[in-house]
Amino acid sequence: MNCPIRTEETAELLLAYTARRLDPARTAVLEDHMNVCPQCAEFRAGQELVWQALDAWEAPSVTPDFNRRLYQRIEAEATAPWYKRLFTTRLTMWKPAIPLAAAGLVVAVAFVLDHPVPMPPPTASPAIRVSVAEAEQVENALDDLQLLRQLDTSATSGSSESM
Amino acid sequence: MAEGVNTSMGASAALDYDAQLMLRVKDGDGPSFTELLEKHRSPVVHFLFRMVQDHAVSEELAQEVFLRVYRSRNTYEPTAKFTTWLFRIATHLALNWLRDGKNERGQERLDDATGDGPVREVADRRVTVEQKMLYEVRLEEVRRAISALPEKQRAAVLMHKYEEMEYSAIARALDCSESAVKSLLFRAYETLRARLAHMA
Repeated sequence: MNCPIRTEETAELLLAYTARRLDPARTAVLEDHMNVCPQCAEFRAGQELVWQALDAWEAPSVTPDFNRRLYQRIEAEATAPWYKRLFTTRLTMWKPAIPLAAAGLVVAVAFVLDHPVPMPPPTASPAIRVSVAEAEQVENALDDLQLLRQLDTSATSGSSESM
Repeated sequence: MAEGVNTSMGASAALDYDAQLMLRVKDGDGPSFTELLEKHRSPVVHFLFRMVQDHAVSEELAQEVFLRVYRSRNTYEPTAKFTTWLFRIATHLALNWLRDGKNERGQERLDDATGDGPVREVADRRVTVEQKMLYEVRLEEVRRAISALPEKQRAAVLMHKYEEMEYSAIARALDCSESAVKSLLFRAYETLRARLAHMA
């Protein structure tokens, strides 16, 4: 048997063996090899120590009211207003995208500030247009009045000359 | 190289049964959710405890795991083993919690000699003070060794050792390839062997 400890790909064989998850046939072959390979024997001893140490690490028991607290949270979510439920679920889904969206917004604002959109010329409001028309009419009326005065003056001076 | 794990018909039946339960939850069957909760609550809490090394936080995160399972009931599809999906959620929550910087509190708790773990008594013998102290010291060594591992290596070791998950399941939980999982485990156990060698 080729020494399995030489590469990562084959070292997992030793790992499975020490975890007692290797099939009996390969276990027998590996044990024969470890009896003559000091490196593999050392690996076995070290790994078994790790297993023992990890076995000794017991986790604390789950608190008795775990289920009750969970069901309370489920009930609270079920009776929450629709917008809160939407916020809870959608925010969870979109949480990673929020910083990206904020960054995108900053970039967009910076672009707009750097490339201002030209403002179109102001268009007169209907009220101003009416005033302009009225002003033109007034102007025309004044021109007509002035012409009439000139004609009147001419007529008056002409009649006096004829007399 | 394939791992020589002996899979049994019982394990396959358990896989189908958990998925069947979840599909019943999808159909509105509340007791099926309770059954899933009862079965997987302790493994999830214990996994999270060993990841974050804080009992209160581990239960809070575990609550969030099952809350997300419940929220997902309407869209659940059994595309993977139920436990793979469950531990994928748990792993993501644990990694997020650790990366959010709250692990400072966890580091402080490592300095607490009593810790959060239970007191272990040697069967059929009275525990002497020296034995208890030795046990606490060794336990602290293990906690520190695990805590010192990079987060993904830590998660891989905990799923491999305590949940006896196969490489493919760990890969799906960690969202990486099987070869990446093998590499994670190889490096993690190499570190642990070196760190715990003095305990021989």
